[in-house]
Amino acid sequence: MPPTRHDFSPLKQDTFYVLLVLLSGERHGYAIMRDAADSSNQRVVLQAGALYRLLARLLEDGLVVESQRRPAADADDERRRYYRITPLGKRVLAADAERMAALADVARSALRANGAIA
Amino acid sequence: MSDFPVPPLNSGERVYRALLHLYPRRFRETFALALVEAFRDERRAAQRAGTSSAAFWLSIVQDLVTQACSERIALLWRTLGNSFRPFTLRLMSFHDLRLAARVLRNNRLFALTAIVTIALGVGSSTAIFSVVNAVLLRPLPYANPDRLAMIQMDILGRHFMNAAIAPGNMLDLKARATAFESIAAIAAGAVPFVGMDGKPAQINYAVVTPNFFTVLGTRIRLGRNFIEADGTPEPTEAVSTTRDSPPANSPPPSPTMTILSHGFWVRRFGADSSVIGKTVQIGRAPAMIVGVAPADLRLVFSKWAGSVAEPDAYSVFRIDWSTASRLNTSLRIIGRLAPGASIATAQAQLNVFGADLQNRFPIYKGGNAVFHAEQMQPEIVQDVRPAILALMGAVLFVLLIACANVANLLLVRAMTRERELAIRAALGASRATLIGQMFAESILLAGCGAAFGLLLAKLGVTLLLRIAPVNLPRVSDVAIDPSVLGFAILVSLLSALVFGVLPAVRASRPDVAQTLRAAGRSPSLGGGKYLRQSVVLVEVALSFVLLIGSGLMVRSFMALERVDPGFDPRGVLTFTANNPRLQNTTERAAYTQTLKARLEALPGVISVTESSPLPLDGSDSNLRWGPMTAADDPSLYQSATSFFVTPGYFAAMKVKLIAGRAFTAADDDTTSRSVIVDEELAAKAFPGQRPQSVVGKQVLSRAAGPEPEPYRIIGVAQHVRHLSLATAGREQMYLSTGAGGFFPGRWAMRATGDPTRLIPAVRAVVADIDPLVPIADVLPMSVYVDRAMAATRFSLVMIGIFAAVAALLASIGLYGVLATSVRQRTAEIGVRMAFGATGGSIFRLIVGQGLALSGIGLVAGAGIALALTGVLSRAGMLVSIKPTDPLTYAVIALLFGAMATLACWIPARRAARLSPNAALRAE
Repeated sequence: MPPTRHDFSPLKQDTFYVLLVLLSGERHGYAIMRDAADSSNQRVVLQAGALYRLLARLLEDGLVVESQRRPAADADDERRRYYRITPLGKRVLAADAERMAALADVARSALRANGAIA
Repeated sequence: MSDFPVPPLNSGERVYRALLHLYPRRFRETFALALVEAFRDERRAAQRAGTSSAAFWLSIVQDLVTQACSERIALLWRTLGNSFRPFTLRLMSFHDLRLAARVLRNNRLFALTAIVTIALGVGSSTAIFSVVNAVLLRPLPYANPDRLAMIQMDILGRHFMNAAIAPGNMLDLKARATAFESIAAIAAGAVPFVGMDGKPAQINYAVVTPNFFTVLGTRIRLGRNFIEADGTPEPTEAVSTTRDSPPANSPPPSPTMTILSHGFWVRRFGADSSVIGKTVQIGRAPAMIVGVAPADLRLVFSKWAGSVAEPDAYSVFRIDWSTASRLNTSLRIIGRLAPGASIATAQAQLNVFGADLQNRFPIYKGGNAVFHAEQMQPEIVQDVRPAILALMGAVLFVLLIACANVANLLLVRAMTRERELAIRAALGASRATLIGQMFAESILLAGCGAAFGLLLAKLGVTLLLRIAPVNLPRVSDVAIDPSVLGFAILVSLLSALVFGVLPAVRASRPDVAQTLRAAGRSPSLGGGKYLRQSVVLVEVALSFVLLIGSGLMVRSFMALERVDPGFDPRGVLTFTANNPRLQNTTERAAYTQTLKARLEALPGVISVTESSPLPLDGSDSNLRWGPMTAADDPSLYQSATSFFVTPGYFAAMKVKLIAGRAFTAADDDTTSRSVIVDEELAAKAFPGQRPQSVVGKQVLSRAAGPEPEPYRIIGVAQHVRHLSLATAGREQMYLSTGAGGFFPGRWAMRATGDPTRLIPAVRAVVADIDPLVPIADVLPMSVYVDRAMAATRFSLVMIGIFAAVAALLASIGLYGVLATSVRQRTAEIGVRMAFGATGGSIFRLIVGQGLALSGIGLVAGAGIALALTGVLSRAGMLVSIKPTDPLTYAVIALLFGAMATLACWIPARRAARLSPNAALRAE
């Protein structure tokens, strides 16, 4: 039975940001580390070892695939491995975002009823 | 594998690539390049950000190591199984276990050997570590025990160390040693006790300063603690701490405040809380019970404070400390360090205190008395520490050998099953099934082993407690330690699992064809031949070391049994019968003489004496003596062990008189100034003179009064072993009981036949003289000698057990390796036979292989033993034997050789009996 988006919920913070970064386009390893750190306000700081273990899991689960090797646009002419999010990856990310939004809604209305927030 | 040019490596990258080998192979092959790319990017970024290269590498290495390890663990977890998640019901299914039990039943010898090995390892290590934990490691049962210290005096000039402290010095000590926030004192001994019901008994009794329980941090369970007012001296009499002899006709003393021990309160008063406020009689004086101590209170320093671990009752010193004796060294002192103060500060203050005393009092100067403070815990265990550490070494050896043996057994077994596993894999058994079954087998083995190990540990602790020497502190706290037991079981489980399951993991690899082709000829599993051989070699060497150790202990014990204690303990009965109500010297003299005469009149009694102390009874007694010239030069004073004895002592104890005469009734008087010295004191006082010419000469002593007086030597006796059977000890002097004031000691009576049959008659005689006199410590004299041998016997039994276990395990290992070797070489043996080798030559071949292996082990073991057994003699465990004793080495080597031959015999015989046909067909 192929995995469905529900098998991955909830996503860990690291996984969430890696998928989020890949949503805006293919990235090579270092770019994922850098962009994840930037977009998470330095809350997700991955190093190479941690990143590639994570990528190995994501590859295995089919949330991410390796795309063609090609030179990096931003640095020099070394050719790199690039990673791309799969449709399943997108669905998983979306499901997790929904889950969190729903959680936030529930919490907000409860807090409002309680007078804790306006 | 790379389809694009790899940029030139620099050294940093080379290091990084090397580190990548930490990852499992598959992961590395997939991601190595990508990781190196990211590493380059990270380094560039770090350089741009100006990060120091040390910080950069620290973070890189940390990341890599943690991630690689996690990946390996995750991989192992997945390999062990989709269907093989440990501790799930599926794995431990009844089916698996039943199958495992059947397999093990069919291999009874193997299963039994493995179980016994694990049980021995778990059992012996748990038992010993439980003792070590209770005696050496567990903190003392007091509040902040590391702040507690013991203060003692060394009389350097008289080679008398760790002496007690005189009460007259307490106030000065408190004033000088301000590093202690509080200082408490204790003196303990046995006294008669008469309860509310009027029944007499002898109890263990401690007199303490009012702050004693506060210093230890002990809360009183019932009633109240002592208060300072309890220690207010009696107005009419000066109570000294020991040998109290109040003047006759003194008014009845006011009751002293008393706290009962919990045990005594339960035993004697049935835990009745209404005892608080009641008055009983302790010793001569009334005592009012004000409190009950908590149940768990133990005086762990008892060896040092009068040999009473659990005094039945405590009361307070009622001394005027400012006028108390500065000579009567009777107090054991405990100090609690003030916050922020260290032992070193305290020691510096004690040095000043000692110097001050030496300046003020010539007697302290003459003896060169110095004071020292030691932390309580290290101090109370220092006597037994080396012996226990040596035992711990022994147990570590046994545990190592046991683990090696389990590994060896399982590896050998895995090798023999390699083919079976491969066939089953080829027939479609899943890896998970195979591994699961091996897992169940290992669990079963380890479980049974651990269960028997627990049993052994329980037996072991019981045995240990039975033979433990009296000087083992806190021995009553020894119990099987759950964390230690847990650890030992975990270790055995792990070794069984690792060496049981890993071969299965490897054997069930997809590539079964290779295994099937190779199986039986060149084993790829279970480690190589050399691995197994070196494991056995190590086992042989380690067990040989242990055997040497136990051989030396046996020789020590034999030496100890042959030691002449200087007296004859056979046929002597000892007991105490202290009358609490005797008021003065006259009454005491009358009681002593009446009792002695009545005992002498009993049928079968040869001679009777009372002595304080009796040899080897565990109490120390110290008396200063000097040649006559010491009157002008106090530095000539020395310390001797003193015995106060009634006439008849030398006959009752069969102590040989070398010259002169024994005490007569005429000497047994308070005015007597006769002394009998031992040969060593005679030689020291009158160097170069024969014992006969020493008789009639004089020495100085203060046995009867505060000032030294001349004593006339009437006899010279053979030296007697007193504090220890193993070493000779100090010089000795004997004075008459009368010269000491007729204070009670232990009675000893020599009789024909079994002395214990006199016990009823003795009780009747004492009860007839005074029914309120308690009789206690009724023991044959041989018990004291026996106790003096306990420490050596203890070490002997322990090391002996370990050595036997180790030797057994090593022979099992040897047998296992040879049996496997015979099986592997069956074809070769067949060929040899086909070419005309006889059974005898095959036998010699196999035995030769085994003996060569054990020979190398023996040589290595002898080397280690030579290096290590010095520890035994430094620990004082060896008696009159050198750690390099050649006879011991030779005998043990012979013994071990015989055992090794036996272990080789069975596989060699099997090899020799193979028929060439069968052997060749086995191919």
